[in-house]
Amino acid sequence: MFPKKCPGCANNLKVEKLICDNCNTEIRGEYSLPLLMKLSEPEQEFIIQFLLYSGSLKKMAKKLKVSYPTVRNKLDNMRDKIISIQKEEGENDR
Amino acid sequence: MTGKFNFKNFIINPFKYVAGYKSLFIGLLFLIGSAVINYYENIHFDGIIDIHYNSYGGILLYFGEGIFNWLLLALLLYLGTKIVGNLSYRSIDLFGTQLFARIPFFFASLLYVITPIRKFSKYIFWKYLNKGSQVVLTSLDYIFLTAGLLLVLFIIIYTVYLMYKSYSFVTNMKRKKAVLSFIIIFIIAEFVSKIFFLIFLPVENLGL
Repeated sequence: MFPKKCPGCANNLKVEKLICDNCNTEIRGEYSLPLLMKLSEPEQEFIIQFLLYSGSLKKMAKKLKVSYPTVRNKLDNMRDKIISIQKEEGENDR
Repeated sequence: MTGKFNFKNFIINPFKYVAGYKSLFIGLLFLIGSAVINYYENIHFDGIIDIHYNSYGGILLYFGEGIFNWLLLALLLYLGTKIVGNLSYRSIDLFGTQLFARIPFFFASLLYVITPIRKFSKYIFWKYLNKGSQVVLTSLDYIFLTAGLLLVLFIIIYTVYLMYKSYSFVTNMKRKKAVLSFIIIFIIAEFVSKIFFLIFLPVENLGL
């Protein structure tokens, strides 16, 4: 599992180094994780499924054998989470 | 998110698995089942969460009671969501799951048949209202009666819980808001239903 939180203080982790595995070029800096990477793995999986079903919650619910409100609530809760992450990022950038 | 069916999860929140037209159809089947049992056993659902014994009315009345109780609460909850806030949900999910939430009442009707609750009701009618023939209750009747009444009480509590769960889950309302608005709407619905049944089914018919 890709680590996103510091195991010591639970703060958000940042990327310090990127490496090209072809020519071993290293890029160093302090990069924040992309927004989607800040979501949990099940949430990322949900987004992939959502795209694969062309955004049809009905089809998704049928395939996952859950009710429509279950999928809908999951989507709404993720939207709220993304909004709060964006707000947090906005405050940090100021 | 997995769709693996888990019985415990289903009891806690069946609406994770069933909603929309499916819940409406299943709920309707159980409502018809309850109406048939109630007709033959003289059990009335004369209020949102009321179960009483009395012998009056045709099969349509028993069916109508179920429909009225379901629609009244579902409509008031629907109107409530319009007042509470800008919630995006499908109304069929609210109406369907509200009907599904009433399924335990089918089992309450069955309990009236298989336990001495009905016999006890007849006893009350004979002893205190001088109606019907003499009824004698044995000590074994009292034991099963207590067990039956406790089960009916549990069914009523569970039904109210399901009604709340349907409302809060389908609308994805924040907990505090959902609890408060549900309590208010539920009390209004119970009050309106009692008034309605008192008007259309006068006290003299109830024999109380």
